[in-house]
Amino acid sequence: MQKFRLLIGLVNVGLYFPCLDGWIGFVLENEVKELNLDVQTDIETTRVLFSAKWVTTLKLSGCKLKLSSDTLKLHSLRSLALVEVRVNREMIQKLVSECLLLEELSMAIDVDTPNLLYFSFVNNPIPVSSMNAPRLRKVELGKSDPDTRWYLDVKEFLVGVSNQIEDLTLCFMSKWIMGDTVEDNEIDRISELPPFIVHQIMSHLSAKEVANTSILSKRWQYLQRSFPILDFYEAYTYFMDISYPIFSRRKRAIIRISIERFIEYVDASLLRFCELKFSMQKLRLLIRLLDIKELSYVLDKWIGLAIENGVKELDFDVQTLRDPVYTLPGIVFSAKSLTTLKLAGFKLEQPLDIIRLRSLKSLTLNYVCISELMLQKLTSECVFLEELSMSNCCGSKCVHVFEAYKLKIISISVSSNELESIKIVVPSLQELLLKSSNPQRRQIDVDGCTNMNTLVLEGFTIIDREFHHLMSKFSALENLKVVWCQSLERLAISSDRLKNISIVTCSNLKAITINTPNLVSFVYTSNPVPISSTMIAPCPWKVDLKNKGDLDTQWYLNIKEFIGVSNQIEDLTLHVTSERVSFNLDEFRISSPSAPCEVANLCLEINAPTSDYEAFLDGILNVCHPRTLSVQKTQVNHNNFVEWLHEKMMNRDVNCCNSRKVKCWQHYLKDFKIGGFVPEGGQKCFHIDNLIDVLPKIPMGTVLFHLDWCFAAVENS
Amino acid sequence: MSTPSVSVNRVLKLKSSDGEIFEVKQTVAVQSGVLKQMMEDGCTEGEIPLNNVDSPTLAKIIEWCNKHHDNDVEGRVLSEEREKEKEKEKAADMKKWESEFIDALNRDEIYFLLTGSNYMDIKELLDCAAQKVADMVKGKTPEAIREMFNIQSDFTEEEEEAIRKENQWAFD
Repeated sequence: MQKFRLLIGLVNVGLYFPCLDGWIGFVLENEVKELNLDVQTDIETTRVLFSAKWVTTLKLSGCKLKLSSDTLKLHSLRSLALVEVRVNREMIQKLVSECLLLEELSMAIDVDTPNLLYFSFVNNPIPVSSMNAPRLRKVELGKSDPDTRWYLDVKEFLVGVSNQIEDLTLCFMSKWIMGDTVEDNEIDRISELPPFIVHQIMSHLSAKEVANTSILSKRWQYLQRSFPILDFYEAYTYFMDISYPIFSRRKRAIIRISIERFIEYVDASLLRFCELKFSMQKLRLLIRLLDIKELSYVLDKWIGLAIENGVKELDFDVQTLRDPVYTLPGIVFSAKSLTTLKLAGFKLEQPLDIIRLRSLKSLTLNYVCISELMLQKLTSECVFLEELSMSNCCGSKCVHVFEAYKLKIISISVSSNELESIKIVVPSLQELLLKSSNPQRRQIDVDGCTNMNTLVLEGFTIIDREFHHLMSKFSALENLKVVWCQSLERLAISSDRLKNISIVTCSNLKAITINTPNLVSFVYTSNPVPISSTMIAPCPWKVDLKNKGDLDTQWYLNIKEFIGVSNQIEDLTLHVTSERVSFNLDEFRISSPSAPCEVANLCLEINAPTSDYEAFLDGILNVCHPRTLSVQKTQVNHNNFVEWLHEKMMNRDVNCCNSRKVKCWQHYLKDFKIGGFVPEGGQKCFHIDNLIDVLPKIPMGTVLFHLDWCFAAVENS
Repeated sequence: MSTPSVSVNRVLKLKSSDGEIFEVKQTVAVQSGVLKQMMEDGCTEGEIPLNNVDSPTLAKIIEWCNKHHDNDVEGRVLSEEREKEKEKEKAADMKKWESEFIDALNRDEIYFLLTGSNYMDIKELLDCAAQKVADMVKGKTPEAIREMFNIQSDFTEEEEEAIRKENQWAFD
């Protein structure tokens, strides 16, 4: 027990007295650390109090302390406050001399002495709670390390007592007093903070930084040892970077000894924490199973200790080379206070008993061997489970989740061929993330998740018909992300609810039809240019197109058709790798006579023969008029493109199309300026004066140009 | 009989440890777990003594609560359009305000803010102040931390060496 605080007016002493003694006895048995009793009567406090060896803070109000002949056993007492307590001088002396750790003693007394003239109390804090002494003339007060609060107390005391004080003496016994002022900065306040607050501070530090605080002082050593988040993950990552074979036998032996010492350290830290009898917030550990024999025995013990101490979050990563061999001890399934369980490298075996994880909200399994039945048992018996995440698990051909009434998020990531089907029937589900790094076809049946809000589908071999069937089931869907689904060819999405669509790396996409009048964002990344498109998506677009092979006028027409329906193109990025680029302006204008689209930022990355730059630029600037043009400088030939572009823009020839009815983009470009350079990974834009001179010297990154377009001028002339 | 529920216009009178009275709207005061509980129990008549919070600290705490309350109210009238981005912007603004608020405090003020927000049970403020102290500790040697907070080491040289060793191997 941390604290027991009681206020009670004991009017009928005869009735309540035994009851109070019983309570005090009970809390002392439970090793209470802070005891605050205000009993508002004159009764003598039970003597059991004097044997309270765990109590660190004791505050008594309105009672009587009688001198005890036995030795006091208040071994942990650091702070004692007596308010309106009847106690004699001998007893106070006994308290002061026998409580060895006592750091703070305060007493508040009622003074009702109408004739008092002289009052002296050189102690901390001001001991008087109420004072009736109108004739008081001389006061002596003192404190060893005065702080702001003490001055306030003094002021309050003086104002409250009398307005005729003639003689005031203040005694400072402090090493920190310089002249008249107190250096507030010199007081160590942080160490005085309650452990809970210090632990709150520690929760923002890394495990290493927390461990280092133990060296500050004994108080901090205690604070560090009682920190309820025990994180041994970071400490072990040092060993993970070492691969054994490259070292000599001697070096390997040294590493082995270090790892054994790591295990001893974890063991000692855990035992030390458990001795304090605090409840554990979190235990996090990373270890390689190979590193030590008999490890499973040690791991069982650690997990057992954590669960006995009411751990709330358990995060264990036991790395193995092949399939998981270490079986999770059954005690975990009875951990009633566990809210978060994260396991990696374990084998989960089905317990005979019912699973009693009544607080479990989040379950994460990574490289875990789990059977179909065990997964069903876990999801149906952990009735409060909200989040289930599985990645690279083995042991079952089918993931089947049903009868889970609180589940909100499911994330499944597969890498092997073993898993053949996924069936999820969870009407409460809001988010579903399915990811596969293996193109094998799997059966997916998630029709029963009718309230789904977010769907992410990555790497699954799913054909158009299956995709459209899925979409028809989720009428509440707001967020959709489709990544690396190579078998999708013709995509049709229609919904009033959808807000965010993201289509990434679907390399075989040929046609796209999107009818989403309430869309907020549309991202189309690393896909080919759709050959046909029908788009209703009135929101900002981010489009990133990848193309390999020959580019002709039709390619540009496709881009224009695709992006032309939007007037909010934020980013258009083109990655082009081509041996042959051709563009015919007349052909282009006949097929698409409308004005080029407005684009905020056009980003180009081109890998093509220098002789084709002209055709490429002609094509793209007839498709769109970007306000900013960014060119990636990644390799030598990109340098060429930047240089070429600069040259071309600076020496625009406005007489080029004199004989023609249709004018090329050069006639519409009013101004061209170098915007600057942004290095790779950086955010800051550097100013560039003379591009051609600095170009060979700058690192990889993006060169920016600002373009100013004008229509009216050309049309009128 | 007065209703115990929170009303927009009613104010609470908070009395700091040094006797100053602060008025705060009930809708703002709910951010404090302790005051919220008192309101639910219907015992907020008269002055509420906060014996562990002095007036400079209480003024800071109320400033913080008022700012966070205003932000919440603004949030509700926002239209759904571009909701996310606005929220993001506002969150960033609030972060900036919070860090300026915290950075302006000296060490002792942070200390009193920690104990005060803990006493009044204002989790977000406590966490914000705790984060600030953690930032001050980050990347510093034990000697520098001791100097910064004026922590006196009560270890003998041997004891200190032993702990140093224990920690050293664990973290390369």
